[in-house]
Amino acid sequence: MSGASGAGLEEEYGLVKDKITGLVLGGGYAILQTSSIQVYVQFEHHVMSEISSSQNLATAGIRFYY
Amino acid sequence: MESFTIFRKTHSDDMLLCGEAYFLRVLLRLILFCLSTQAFADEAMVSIFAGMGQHHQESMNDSKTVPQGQAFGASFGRRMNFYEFELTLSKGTYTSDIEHDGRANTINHDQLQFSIALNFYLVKIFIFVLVMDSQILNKRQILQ
Repeated sequence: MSGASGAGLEEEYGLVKDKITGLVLGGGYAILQTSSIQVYVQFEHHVMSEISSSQNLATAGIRFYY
Repeated sequence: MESFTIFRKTHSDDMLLCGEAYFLRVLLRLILFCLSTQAFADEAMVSIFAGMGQHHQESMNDSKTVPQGQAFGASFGRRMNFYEFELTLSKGTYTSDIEHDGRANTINHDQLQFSIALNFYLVKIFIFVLVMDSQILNKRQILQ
């Protein structure tokens, strides 16, 4: 994870380049499902307690099974 | 007398009920077949995805700054029965305007994320349990 900002903001807001470990929890729904393709939507909540931050992420994707 | 005969259960009603039960049984077996071909699969998987997200930083709560942006990535894994093992690599870019000491600034938050996931197909598990339950119930009725 990296952060860049104006002068003086790095120290105050903790925006420094860092490598952290967190936990991801989420759920999704397969809109279209065949034996080889799956189209899905997903919502994830990322918890990164090391830097006291969290993220919400909504994605759409396609999976190919073979 | 005519009105009583209307409400009386006829032989054709029984035939209809049998037809409905037969249809339901065929439907359940069809669902079970679909589950056996898809849910009991053991196959490799590749995936691509894209989406939108936001980053909450505790130290930025006072300024009410929440960087927002896009993320995209790819993953590969393996699906086995009702669960799926997945390795994901994604790239996210979140930006936000912030005012600090009277000066306007922009926060650029870039991240590269690697995650290990275990996905559970809950709806399939639910349907499977439902179908198996009805099959067991059906067998009990036959035995009785």
